[in-house]
Amino acid sequence: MKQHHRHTGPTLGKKPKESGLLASLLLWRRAFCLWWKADPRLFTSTAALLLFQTLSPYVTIYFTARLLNEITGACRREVLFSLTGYVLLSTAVLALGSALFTRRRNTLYAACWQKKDQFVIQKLLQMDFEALEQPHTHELIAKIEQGQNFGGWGILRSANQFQDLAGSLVQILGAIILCITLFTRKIPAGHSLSLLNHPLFLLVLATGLVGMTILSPRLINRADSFWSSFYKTSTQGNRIYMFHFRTGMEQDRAMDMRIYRQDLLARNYLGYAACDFTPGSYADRYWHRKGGAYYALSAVVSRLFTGFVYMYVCMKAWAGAFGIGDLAQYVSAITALSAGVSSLLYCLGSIRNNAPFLQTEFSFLNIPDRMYQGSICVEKRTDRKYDVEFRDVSFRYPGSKTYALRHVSLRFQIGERLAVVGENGSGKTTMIKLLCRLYDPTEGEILLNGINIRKYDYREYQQVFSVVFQDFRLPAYGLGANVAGSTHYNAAKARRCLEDAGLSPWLAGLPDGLDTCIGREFDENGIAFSGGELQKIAIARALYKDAPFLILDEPTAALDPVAEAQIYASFNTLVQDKTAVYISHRLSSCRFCDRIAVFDRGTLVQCGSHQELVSQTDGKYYALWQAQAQYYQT
Amino acid sequence: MHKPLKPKYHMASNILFMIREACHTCKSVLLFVILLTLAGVGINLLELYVTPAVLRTLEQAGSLTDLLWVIAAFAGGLLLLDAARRYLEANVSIGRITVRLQLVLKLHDKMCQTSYPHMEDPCFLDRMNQSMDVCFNNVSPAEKIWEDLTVLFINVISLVLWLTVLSSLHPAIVALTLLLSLADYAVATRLGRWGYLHRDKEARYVHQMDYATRLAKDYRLAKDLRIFGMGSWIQDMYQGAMQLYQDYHGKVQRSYLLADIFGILLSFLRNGIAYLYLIFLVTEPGSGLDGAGFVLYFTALGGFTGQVAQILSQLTLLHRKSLSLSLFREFLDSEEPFAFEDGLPLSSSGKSCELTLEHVSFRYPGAQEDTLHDISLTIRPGEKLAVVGCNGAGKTTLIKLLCGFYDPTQGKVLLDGEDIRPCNRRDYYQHFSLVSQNFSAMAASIAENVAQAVMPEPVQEPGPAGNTSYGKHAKGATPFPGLPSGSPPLDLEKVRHCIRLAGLAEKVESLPEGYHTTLNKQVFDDAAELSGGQLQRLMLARALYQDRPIMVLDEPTAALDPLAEHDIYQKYNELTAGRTSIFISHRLASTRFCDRIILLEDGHITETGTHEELLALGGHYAALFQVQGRYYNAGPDVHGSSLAAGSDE
Repeated sequence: MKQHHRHTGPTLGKKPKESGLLASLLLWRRAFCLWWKADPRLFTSTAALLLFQTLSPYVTIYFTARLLNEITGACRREVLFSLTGYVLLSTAVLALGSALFTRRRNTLYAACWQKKDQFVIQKLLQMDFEALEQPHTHELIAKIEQGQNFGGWGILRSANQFQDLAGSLVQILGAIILCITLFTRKIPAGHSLSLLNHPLFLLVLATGLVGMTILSPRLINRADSFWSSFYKTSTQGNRIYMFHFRTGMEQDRAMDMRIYRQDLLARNYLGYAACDFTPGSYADRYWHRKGGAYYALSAVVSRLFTGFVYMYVCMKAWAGAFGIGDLAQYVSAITALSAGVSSLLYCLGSIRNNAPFLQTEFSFLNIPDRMYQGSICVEKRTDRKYDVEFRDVSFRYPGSKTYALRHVSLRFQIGERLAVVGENGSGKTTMIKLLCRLYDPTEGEILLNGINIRKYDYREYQQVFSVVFQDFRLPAYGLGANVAGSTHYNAAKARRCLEDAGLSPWLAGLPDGLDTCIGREFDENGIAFSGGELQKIAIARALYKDAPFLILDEPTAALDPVAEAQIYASFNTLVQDKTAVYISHRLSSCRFCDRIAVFDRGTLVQCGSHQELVSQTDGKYYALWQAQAQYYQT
Repeated sequence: MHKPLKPKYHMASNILFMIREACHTCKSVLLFVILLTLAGVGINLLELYVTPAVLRTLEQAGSLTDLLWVIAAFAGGLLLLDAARRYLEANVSIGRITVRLQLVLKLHDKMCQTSYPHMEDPCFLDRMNQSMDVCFNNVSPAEKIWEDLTVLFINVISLVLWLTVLSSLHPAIVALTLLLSLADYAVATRLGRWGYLHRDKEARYVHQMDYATRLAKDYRLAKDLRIFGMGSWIQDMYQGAMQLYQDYHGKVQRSYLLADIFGILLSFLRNGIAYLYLIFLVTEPGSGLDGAGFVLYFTALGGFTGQVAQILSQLTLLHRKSLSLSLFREFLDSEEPFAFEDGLPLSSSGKSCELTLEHVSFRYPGAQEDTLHDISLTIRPGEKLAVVGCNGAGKTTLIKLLCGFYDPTQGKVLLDGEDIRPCNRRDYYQHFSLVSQNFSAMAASIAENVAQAVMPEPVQEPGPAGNTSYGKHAKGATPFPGLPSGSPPLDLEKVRHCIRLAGLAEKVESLPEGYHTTLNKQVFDDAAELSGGQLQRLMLARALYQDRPIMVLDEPTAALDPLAEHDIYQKYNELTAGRTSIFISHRLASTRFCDRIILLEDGHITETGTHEELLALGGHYAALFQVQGRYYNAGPDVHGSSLAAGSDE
């Protein structure tokens, strides 16, 4: 199990107010329901186990008490042997049952550590892209991870708390049954201590015992809450630490690491984050010293309690209320009762301490999916006549003050090849992101076949586009699966797409064919493809989807002149009758596009064919073109 | 998986290693171990004797005050010891974490400073990952070992004390109990070993699930994921691995169950013998065993069994941890193929240096063929060299050899006539600035990224939750031991100059925090988001700041737009003034600024000369230039689409 320890920053923050018990229980209940839906067997197996686990000590206590009574009483060998027999048999049977159910439960629980990720993963995979890019989301995820990795806080703990809750309740029940007789058995009248029989005395004793039983877990929870507050204010240092440590492992960074001695810079940050754990730090003073004092205090209280119980029971025994064997039984029973109550209270306290972690997780899970509100199906057309139009679109990234796009109006002609050019930061990629509906425009609207794209079912709308982004990613799984984007795929079609992207000779040379893994993450026989080859695989992926719109963002940036020429030459094969949008800094590609859209600082400044634009010598296009072409003009 | 046949360091040596580490870093750890041991043993003793003592008082009909004193004494003792133990346990982590973090730093140093070929060696990387497991979290061996040692000491000492208690019993009973415990342990280990032997399978499944989780969290994948609907694919991969993982654990638990059953049988036997023997004694008149004694001996026998079982299981745990620690130490000891501080000092320290490759051939480890064949090349000080060639021709390999990241399989790399192989490789690296295609920005401020040094004073930002307050320590905390004072202080003026030269000044000055803005949104919430082109310029600024005699630029304009690209070319002379520069590019337009161009094909240098000379030669270089410039030169009357349909050479 790889648990990543996160080290926490020293920023001082106030301890957050503890949530009320009721609110915490409601949070717990929601977590419980999530787990129940995921796998109810977790809890049914635990319940079965609890019965055995909690009750077996009581059986032992009962029989050993009888044994001891006999020893100090008549001490008959046959009776002793038979009692021994009962003890041994019952212990063995209960242990067997316990073992069976423990193993069953462990099998189911073993995966809990991994399963807890499922809730977050499911959410991540379907979230709005815009929500994903928010810094708030990043922070939530970092917080969730930190809580999980540092002590299994959050949803994972809720699963375990079920066992603690139910277990303590059963334990309390069993203990009560065993020690009822403690209070009913009377010291013979006339004894000096018969005062102890008085119900008032019992009441005082009971109150005192209850008070101590409650106090101990409260102290423990108090100590735990220091950690809780520590967690809330300490995500930052963790993130710093994790990043800087990982830099040493990254292969891509290895050359720069050695040339620039990045390890020295990293070390400074590592040392800084680790400062939290030196003597005198915030963690030391609050979490450890103060917390430690509370733990010690709680131990004092529980030992005091045991001491008083012992005294009460022993005095009764001394005064003749019951035999020595019963003494052992009552002491064990009361201790177990107290332990049960403590455990119950500790569990409730733990539920309270867990509440802030659950709140973080639920605020993440509660992030609304705004983009899924549309419901219209996209009309399926075999003639690929999808008409997309930007109507006075302006866009600002969330949290940014400047507009990335301003008043862009553009109509994509069906079947057209459109080139999009402009300087860095002029809004080209932003326009693509809006086109694919990764973001919604701040002002204006985008229309598909005349209808605002927000009205369409989100997934249906995404079917219209195939995009090869500049920073595309290919997971380290099989080649064929990567091309298709799923586990099951049409091998012939995948092969064809790879060939169309220009990979046919190379594909023939792969020993595992379409099952070759990209990169060596999972398979030693995986192949670390070059940048150019990866780009072609990404293009093949876009082709496989066979969407009416094909968008290529800098597809030849990493390619040498020959490979670039190949892509240009096969452009027709790639695009066929689709509508193609081609973003490139290589303005040579503009020559085989029908129309060129020129962006400058977020606005569409020019639009037309190459001939039209290059003759506008005071225009942006001309400046860009000349900047590049001058080097090739012979 | 590459498993070592036999660990180089055995358990005692590894424990001593940890103790030495603790002595250097944080002696309190050892103190805590001793104190906790004493507290633990004390508690065990008191808990053993409390019930028998009380019972004895009752059986012998002692006075009430005696009874109360006995109870008070035991309760008081337990109270003090337990409170002490709880306090100690709560305070123990700081020291242990500090010790572990020292090991983390050592690992970090090794990873960052090891010879470059190791970073492309899967065997080495495996061992690196395994070494990470030793010190990477709170339950890793480097931290847990103290707990195990404490428990072991408590149990060993208690065992000795228990034996003295049991000495008044027939030795056969004790011996029998011991034998049965050992048998139980032996069988349980045997039966329960399946999981441990197959733990690399578990690691593999966990790796697959972790990877799927990482994919889901990868922001760069998020766009592709939504456009291509990869969500269900990733879920499938995850579920597949999860199913296998659960099956694995099912098997593990079944093997444990067998061990459990055997254990139950043995303990039935063991307890039976103990009971029978004690009952026999108790019912035998004149044996002197009363009820209290019965309880005492029975508990002691049970305790004895418990101690033995725990000692044995602790030893197993320690053994496993020791194996990991041995792996860790062996990893730190890994031999370095390059010479570092143990090598000869490089004699040339002048600004301009001459680089020579003498009959250099190179083959990657495990490859069938050479990537570079008999390259001989001399780069004069101050020369501007361009390296061109198609993908796979060997350009990156050539650069790696020139910069000293690999040693040639044949031939030599010389700096000012001196073979670099026996010299301190880190000194050699100091001669180079590199701008590669991998943008290796750090999660630090822009100024720190350029200078690769920390800001001299802490930045007192009252910002939210300390997001930008790096560089300051918590009040009163001692600084973490072992931080280097190595890197020279940051020169902000120089940073400004380099950023201006790289063309990034406008962007940086438009940011609210200017040069102190952090990068990397996954670490800092208020970090700036730089585009690909801007990052490329930042990397350029970084190379300029370092002010080193040789500058290597690998596709420095790949992400730049035409105007920015043109700007860089114009400034090229200024950027590389007084330095040797090696320029790799696909853009054959840029090569005209260089003094010399070499064309690499299949690991050979096939053509060399200036841009004009190579065009006049009419060879492969000229052909590539023609191919690339075709669309820029095509006549105005040709229509776009038909151009694309045209053939190429």
